[in-house]
Amino acid sequence: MHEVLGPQDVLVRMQEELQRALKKKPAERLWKMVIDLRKCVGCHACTIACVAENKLPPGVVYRPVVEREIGVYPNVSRAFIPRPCLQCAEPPCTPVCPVNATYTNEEGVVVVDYEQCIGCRYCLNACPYSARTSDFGHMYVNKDVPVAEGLIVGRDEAGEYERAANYEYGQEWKRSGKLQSPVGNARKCHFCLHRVHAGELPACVTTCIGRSTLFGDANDPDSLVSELITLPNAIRLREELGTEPKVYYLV
Amino acid sequence: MTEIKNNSENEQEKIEQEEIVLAEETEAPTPPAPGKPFQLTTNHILWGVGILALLIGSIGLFQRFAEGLRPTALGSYVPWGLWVATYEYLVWLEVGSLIVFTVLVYVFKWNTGLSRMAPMLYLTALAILSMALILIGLDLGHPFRFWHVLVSPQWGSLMTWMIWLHMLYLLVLLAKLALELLSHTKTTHQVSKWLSFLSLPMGIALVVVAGSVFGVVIGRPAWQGSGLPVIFLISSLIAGSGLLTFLFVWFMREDTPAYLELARKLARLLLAFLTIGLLVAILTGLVILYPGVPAQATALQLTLFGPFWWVYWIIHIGLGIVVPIFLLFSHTQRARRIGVAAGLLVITFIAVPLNIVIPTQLAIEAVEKGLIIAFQGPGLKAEYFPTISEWLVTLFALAFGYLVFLFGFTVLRLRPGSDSNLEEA
Repeated sequence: MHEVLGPQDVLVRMQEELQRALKKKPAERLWKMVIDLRKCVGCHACTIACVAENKLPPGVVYRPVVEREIGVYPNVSRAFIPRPCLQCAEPPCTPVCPVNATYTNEEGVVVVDYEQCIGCRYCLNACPYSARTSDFGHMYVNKDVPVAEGLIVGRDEAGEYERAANYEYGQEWKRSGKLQSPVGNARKCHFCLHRVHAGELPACVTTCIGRSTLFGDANDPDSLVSELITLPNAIRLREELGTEPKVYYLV
Repeated sequence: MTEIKNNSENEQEKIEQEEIVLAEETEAPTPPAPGKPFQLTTNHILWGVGILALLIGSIGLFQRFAEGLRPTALGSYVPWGLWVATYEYLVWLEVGSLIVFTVLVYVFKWNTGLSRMAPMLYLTALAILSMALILIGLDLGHPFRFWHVLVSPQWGSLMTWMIWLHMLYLLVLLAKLALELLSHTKTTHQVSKWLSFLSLPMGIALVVVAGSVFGVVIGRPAWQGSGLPVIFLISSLIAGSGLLTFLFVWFMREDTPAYLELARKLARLLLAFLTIGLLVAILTGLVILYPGVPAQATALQLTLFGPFWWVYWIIHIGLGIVVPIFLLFSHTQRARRIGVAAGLLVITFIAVPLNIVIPTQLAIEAVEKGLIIAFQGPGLKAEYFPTISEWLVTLFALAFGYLVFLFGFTVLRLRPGSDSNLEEA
């Protein structure tokens, strides 16, 4: 705790833990996420941060926030459930892949090899959480967007931004408008591994205004996530399936 | 006595003439002799229709390669649509007809008239297989990476098994067709017979695995379980025996009691399979609808009472089951009537895989409530109706298969009765 500024922001703590985890061998760390539903205000900042970070095209989403309205007017309340890929320890989506394009990496994250994926979309149907989407090659900037010469929102400028590469899995993926990967592939949340390996927390974690989304190495007994996932109010979605998600919810 | 003999001879001549006309009509097109005026024959029309359909379908194919899957109605919540459903339908037809044929000819030693269909039936299966492979190949996000399944397969995936079995099935079929084209000896017959026996477990495995591809999907409760592999096998037998019956009635037509008797036997077999299929469908439906658990029941409710109720009630039940059963049960049962019933059943049977594949995916809200409105964009909807592009690609595949059949039938002369030695089988 800081004497002047008060309690330390969990972001700072998670950042320190991240640095500590990165000093270990990849196979010795186990990334997990905790989402405190009591703090989520449904601002969708995480969704947008994810879209911006991974330059997700229309129709592709890694972290939707599912909203539920409970009760009947006037006795109504709303619940928000951010739903990234749950990075199951027993993922139903990987064994169905006919070409080994999707698998759990040594850090416990379910990843997609874009160059190997044939685009059969079997994994999309196999995921019990519908956490995968397919990139059908849609673009935000198309011929219907006005040119608006000189303005930042014009077709050319916006198009240039859209065509710029993203860096998922630590590789450069340009979006030229042609049918090159990741167009035609299954896509999913990967805990922003490219950021994590560079010493940064996932985009959804850093942008969460309520500090609802927390992330860290569950193999570190002193980490925040290790503390939280043992709480009695920590649950996982559809436990009955035995998929052992690595994303926990505090309720 | 002489008069009777003359009548009989006349009839025989008439039949022979009809056969010659039929054969001439389906010959490969030959350029008109110099100076002879061009005459439009049935053969020209058959080729013309096929080529025209292929050209029209090519528009969809061009779009598919130029724009990927963008022009389709497919999305992330309904990732499989018309092409996957048609693929399953074609697999049922292709495999089912060969399973029924092999069992009837080689196991139950049915009438030799049926065995004479072998070359044409193999050709039909190859044509259907080509349609199926085109459609499933084009359904891939990266069709040109198809070879990945062959060089780096994951054997834990049933889709891998499905693709490999289909490839092996293609090889067996090609081998059988090659044997049909070779000069017939006792050895070739033996090899062909053993290939047929080999294709039997392979075919059953292919259909069951194709059903299991859906059955193991935990994400779609309406598919999950052992029901679909069984339903796929029964559907394959229904569709296959329908196709076999149709082909027999249409291409083997003779004015003989043996022909009519065999047609009737095939009709009875078709009815038997249809009855089993109906029973299984009703039982499966009741088991799902009675508890009414939304994750499972919504898909079936959509099939029965959703916006495309007519696909089930009118196309499948009405035209595909009630009318054929009426025709097959008719007292004045004639071969032509059996052929019409079988043909109707085969064509409308496409409704079955459509109703298996699509409504389950549309029912995503029953599984993941609120997901549809959580984030919106193209393909993030619980909606699906094939676009023109999808229909055009389907037309291309069907036209391609049709031309394969026409080529084999007219040029390679893979047609019934081309080999009298086959009767030994």
